[in-house]
Amino acid sequence: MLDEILTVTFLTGFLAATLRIMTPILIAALGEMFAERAGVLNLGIEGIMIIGSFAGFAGAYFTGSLLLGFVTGALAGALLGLAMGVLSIRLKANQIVAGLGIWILCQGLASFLNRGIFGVVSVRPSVSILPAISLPLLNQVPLLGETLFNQNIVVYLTLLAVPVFTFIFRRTSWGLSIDAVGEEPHAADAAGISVSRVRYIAVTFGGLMAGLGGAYLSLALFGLYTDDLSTGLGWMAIVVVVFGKWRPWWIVGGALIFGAANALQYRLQALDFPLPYQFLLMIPFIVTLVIVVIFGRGQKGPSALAAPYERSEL
Amino acid sequence: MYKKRALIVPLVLALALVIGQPLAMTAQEDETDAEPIRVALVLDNAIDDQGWNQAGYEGLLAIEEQFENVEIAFSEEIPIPDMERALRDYASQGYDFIILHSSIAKDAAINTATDYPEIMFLWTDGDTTMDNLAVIRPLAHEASYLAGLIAGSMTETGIIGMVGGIDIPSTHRSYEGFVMGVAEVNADAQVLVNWIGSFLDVSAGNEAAMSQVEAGADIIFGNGDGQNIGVLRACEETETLCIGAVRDQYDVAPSVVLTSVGWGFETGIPLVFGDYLEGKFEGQFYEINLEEGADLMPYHENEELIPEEVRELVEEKRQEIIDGDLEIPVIDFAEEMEEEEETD
Repeated sequence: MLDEILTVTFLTGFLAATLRIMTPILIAALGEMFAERAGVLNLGIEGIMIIGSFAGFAGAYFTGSLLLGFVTGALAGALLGLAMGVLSIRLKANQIVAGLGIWILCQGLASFLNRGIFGVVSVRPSVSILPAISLPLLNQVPLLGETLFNQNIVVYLTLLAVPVFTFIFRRTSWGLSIDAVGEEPHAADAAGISVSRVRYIAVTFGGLMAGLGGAYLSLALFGLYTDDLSTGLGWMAIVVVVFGKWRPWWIVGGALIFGAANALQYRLQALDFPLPYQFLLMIPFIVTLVIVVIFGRGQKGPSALAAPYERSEL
Repeated sequence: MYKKRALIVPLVLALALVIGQPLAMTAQEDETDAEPIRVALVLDNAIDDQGWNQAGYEGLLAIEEQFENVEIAFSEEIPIPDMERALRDYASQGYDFIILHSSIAKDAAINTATDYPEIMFLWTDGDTTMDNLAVIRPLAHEASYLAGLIAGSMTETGIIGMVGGIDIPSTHRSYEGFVMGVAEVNADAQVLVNWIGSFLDVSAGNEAAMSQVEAGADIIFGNGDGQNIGVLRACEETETLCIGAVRDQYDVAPSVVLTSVGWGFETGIPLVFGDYLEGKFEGQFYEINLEEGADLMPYHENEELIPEEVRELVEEKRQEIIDGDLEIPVIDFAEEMEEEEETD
């Protein structure tokens, strides 16, 4: 079996699958990181991803442009992020309940809109998926090049966003404001930062990213929409944020480990690995759990996470 | 002011729950004076999922089409834990014939049938019958065997893939039949097996099929339900020939779907209903065989891709099965377990 695993085709296929599986999770997790660092725990992102995949597909289908599809998916996600903002910031709702409410709402809403717009179809409408772009020269790198540098534009942009986000949090007053309202909202308020404004922006951006992650499923992977495109990717994104200690590069690591464990699991099964398939299916979740337990110990999130800000309490 | 705000939150959440409810049921009435016979169908996914649920819905439509004075209704996208509630809703509304289209909602089937002995229930691909609970048992392993003949004859790499949903008796039966067909025409061929542990997960179906293509599979049998959309899309993407399941899935990926293994719900459901109308309904297993619709689906435009001698072989073996000259053994997962216990 080992000689079957240590072949170039196996490894490139494994890498490609890892990237495919991790990208939508990574996009959503990076967005959720913004919301959580500003103090808003948005548990609705699984639902927002579902809406994003539907809105993205509908947008691309009716305009004929994948770009406009991604824009529609992102806008729908941003709108729902804003809705989460209204519930948790303005109405000061319990964020766990509000997030779950958004999730339930989105599940039904996506089915409802899909049936309302496309009707009962015998042939499911589809669009052609986002093409891969091969980066010249870099794709000549042995082993890795063919996979890593032959991806669609969204994968490149997502990986490019990671250092940008790191820069925002480390070097700009924007990032500082987000961390301030997430850690010490009263101090931030006293320093003249509008807590609710910063939180609105962060949670709306988080929704936008989740919408993009969803649109990635329908536009970059499948070219169609069904109600079961995202089966738990949004929840995985929330886990990855915690695992990633709310920091961009760590989040990439978390998504990478989950993607790799999943990609490996499918391949081991096909190689007739001598374990029951149910056990192999558990591998990605066991690996994630073990790693969260090991690395997550003594880990503290933003101090004001999930706490509505009350100025009058002072 | 603050109190008013506090009210809005539960209101929004209540709205979320209302909209989040499964899509509304619809009813269509025939215009005759006689009291219509009311038939209801409960499904766990969308009626146009191009797979399992659409097959059930087509069975319901066939009832409406083939019989006079029938009123149909259905509830789709009902999660498994809610199935019993949906069944009881229809039962308490006085529906005469209620179809449960879900293999795994066993408690819902038995509890409701026990409490409403005067109503007839039909449970597709179930495993228990009662006086008023009949079960459709598709014998899709026969068509799967025929599909195996095609895959075994046509593979060039000698590697064939099978992506299954959950390993339950009916899918396992199909898998064993398929492997038997492959082995009969191509003893050296290797069948890669992936069970993804879900009947819904499109991404998992897609990834599993992709991993098999990379491992060299040039024909893939998608043995399942909703996740088959992902399997067939992966095949279309990688230009790998494939075989669908449950109903004719040619439309999902016309460029690569050679045929599909039908499970015969479109024909089996009206068949049982006809028995019911004639007073012949019994709480029994209705086995749907090749002739009754659990058959190999049309090749459509891809007929020419399959060599003529292979098509002839399939036709020949099909006839042998129908004539009773060839028997494809039913190997259910459960039976295999029992055998193991016995040998222990």
